[in-house]
Order: sequence, then C-alpha cells, then structure tokens
Amino acid sequence: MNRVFAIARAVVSDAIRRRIVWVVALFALVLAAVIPMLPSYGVGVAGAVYREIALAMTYVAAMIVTLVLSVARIPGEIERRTLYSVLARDVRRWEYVLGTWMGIALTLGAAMVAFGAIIFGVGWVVYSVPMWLLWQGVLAIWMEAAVLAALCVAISTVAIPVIVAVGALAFLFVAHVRADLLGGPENPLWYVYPSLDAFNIIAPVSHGSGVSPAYLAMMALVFTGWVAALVLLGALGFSRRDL
Amino acid sequence: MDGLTNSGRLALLLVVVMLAVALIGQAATDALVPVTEKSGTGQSIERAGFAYLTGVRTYAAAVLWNRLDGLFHEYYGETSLDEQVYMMPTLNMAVMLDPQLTQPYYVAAWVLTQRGEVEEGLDLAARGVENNPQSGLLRVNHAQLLALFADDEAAAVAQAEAALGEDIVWLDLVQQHDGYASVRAILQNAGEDQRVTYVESRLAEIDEEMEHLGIHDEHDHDHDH
Repeated sequence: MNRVFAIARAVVSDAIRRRIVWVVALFALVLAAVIPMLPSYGVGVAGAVYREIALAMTYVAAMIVTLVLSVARIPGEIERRTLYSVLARDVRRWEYVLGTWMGIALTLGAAMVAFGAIIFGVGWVVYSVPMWLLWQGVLAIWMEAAVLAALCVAISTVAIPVIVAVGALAFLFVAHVRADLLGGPENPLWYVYPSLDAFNIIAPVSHGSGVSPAYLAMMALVFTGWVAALVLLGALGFSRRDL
Repeated sequence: MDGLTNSGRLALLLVVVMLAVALIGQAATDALVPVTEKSGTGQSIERAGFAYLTGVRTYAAAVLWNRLDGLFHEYYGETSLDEQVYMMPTLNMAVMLDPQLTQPYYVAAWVLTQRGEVEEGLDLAARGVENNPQSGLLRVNHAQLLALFADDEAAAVAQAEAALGEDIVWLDLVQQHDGYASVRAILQNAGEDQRVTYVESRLAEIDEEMEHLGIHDEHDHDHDH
C-alpha cells in the first residue's frame, strides 16, 4: 500500500504545484461574496437561495477541477514517458491506477473543504446563521466528483484525453436523466439504470432539513460501489495495455 | 474472456459485484429520498434530473434581472412603462429560469396591462401569486390589476385581504407600507369600512416603526406626510 500512497502523494504535490486548490478557493471566495448581492428574494427564502446557488457553483467548480485533474493525468504520464520510470520501480499497474485516483480524490477533497469553508463562512457572516447543512451538500458533491474522477482514470488507461473528456461528460449527463428517461420506479429499468442522483441532495439541503444519517450511509455505499468498479475496470484495462 | 487470466476474471467478477453494490445503494437512497422535507415556499425543485443546475438557473435569472434593473432605472427612467417593451423577453426569461424571483412578475404584468394586453398581464400576475403565495408585493400587485383593469372588485378585495395575512412576507417596511396603502385604497373603493379602519391602524403602526428606525418612504403612497 506504501507504493499506492506514494503515487497519491505525487498527484497531490503536482496539483499543489499547479495551484489548483488555491485557484478554486479564490473562485469560491469571489463567488460566495457576490451571491448575497443578487436581487433580494422578498419571500423569505434568501438563505435557501444562497445555499442553492452556493452548492450549484460548488458542483460546477468540482466537476471542472475533476476534469482538469483527471482527464490527461495518465495519458500525459505516458506521453512524457515518466510512467516508465514509475513502473520500473516495481510498482504494479493496478497500484498506479489506484494511487492516481486516490491522489485526485484527495486533491478534490482539499478543494471542496476550501470551497465549503468559504461558502459556510460567507453564509454565516451575511445571514448570521451557521449553515451546517452546507457540509452535507459539499460531501455529496465530493463523492460525485470522486466517482467521475474514477471514471476518467478508468477511461484514460486506454484512451486519449479528448475521448476521456467526452466520455466523462456523457456519463454525467446519462447518470442524471434517469427520471426524465424512465419516469419513475414503475419502469422495470429504474433499478438497473446507472444513476448519480443519490448524490444530488441540493433540494433537502437548500430548502429542507438535509438528509438522514441512513441516507448518508447509503450514499457512501453507492460511492464505494461505483469507485471500486471503475478503478477495477481501469486497472484491468491498464494491465492489458501494451505500453 | 479467453484472453483473460484468472486474476482478470476475478477482477471482472468484482466489477460486477461492485456495480451491484452501487445499484443496491441507489435503490436504498431512492427509498430514503426526503420528499416530504421540501419547504413550502412554492419552490418546485425536483431531486431527479439536473437539480444541481437549478442553482445555476437561479443565478442566471438574478443576473438577467440585475442587468435589467439598472437599465430601466438609469437609462429608461423617464420612459413610460408601456413603452418599455424591450425588457419583455428578458423578463420572461428571468421568470422562466426562476419562478421565485418576484420583481419580474410585477414589472412585466404592468407593462402588459398598460399596453392593453390585460388578459396576459392578469395571467402573469396570477402566476406570480401562485408561485410565490407569501409575497406581499405580488398579492397587492394582482389586487391592483384586478381592480384597475379587470373591474373584478370581489377578486381584487380577496387578493388585498390575503396581502394582510400574518404569513405574508415583505421585503422591507417601505414595501409593506406601500402595499398596505394600496390595499386600503382597494378596500375603500369596495366600501369595506371596517377593514379600512384595521388597515389604517396597521399603517399607523408601520409609520411609527419606520419613524423609530429613521426610514422614510420617498413615494408617500398614503399621502399622510
């Protein structure tokens, strides 16, 4: 496992060197400061509107950062030939794939914590209410971003960055239109359709009282299932690739 | 499968198992979805689909409105409302993007009725109330349009009465003061003297509170200063 952590550390160091987290934090600060200046919502939902917009922007930022971090990570290493020196140090290919995903997920986690702290802080200062529920939303967004990162890593073991990006965006679209395509649970395909809607808790977080611990546990199960399946597929694809 | 080693087959089997785990978790979250926890603000956000993008939609609507607000206050401030049709497409778009943004209903309904498109204006005002039942601004707006353009006194009084409710939300004391002044005029025309007395007492209280807070209503809708 040490080799996996070493690769993850290298990915995080690279992201720090590229100042990705700081750029995200700065973006969050500007954004969160601007949200309260939007037109006043006179129907008593200003706080809810703030939470809704803050989470939507967090989501968009998370998906962009995920794509930036993961689309070209493995193809870039292959192209620059740095991968060969890594694999020459007795690192197995599955360890490389897992370490890469872990590094991206950790970087995303740091970015989300920074983003979350800023939207939470601005919300507290402007509305005088600590909006703890925002952290549930941030956690769900991080989970979805980490699943997307696993997909990108899996595809990138066998494809060029353009295909990875298109595949990731297509997956994101398909995984969020289950209700529009199938209607509801009465459709026999409902329970086998791959969906990421489990991570979409913006409505209860923004306008309700959040989700229950049981829901969070099930969300973690969906996260584990998706990440494990995709990282395994990536490892399988990478192990069969002729480098 | 022929080209796969035993470990490859095992990995594929694990992939299938983990996907099944994801689908089981997915079904469980479906069962636990907190549908009853939506607020009663008229917000019709659905959990499925691109619900995350509702925040982006809200943001876009707000940006559109901000842009328009500056335009018609600064550049078209001297132009009568019925000539300000330039803003209709943007107003429609803002309302479509965010049904909870109250101001566009108010402005667009007046532009339409002033231009003689009374039915459309009243429809829009009614839609605003439907989507924002607690908005005092939109209740009074609808009541005024019903009284002035539809000649429907009973409906106007009903809306005006609704604007006096305890659950009604006002942006600030000035908006509430102006709203109550309009309600008073509608009730006066309808001969609802008892209710007029009540509204006047409420107006006096609001006046007192505004005085205490040092707030001045530049419009002076109730002509008491």
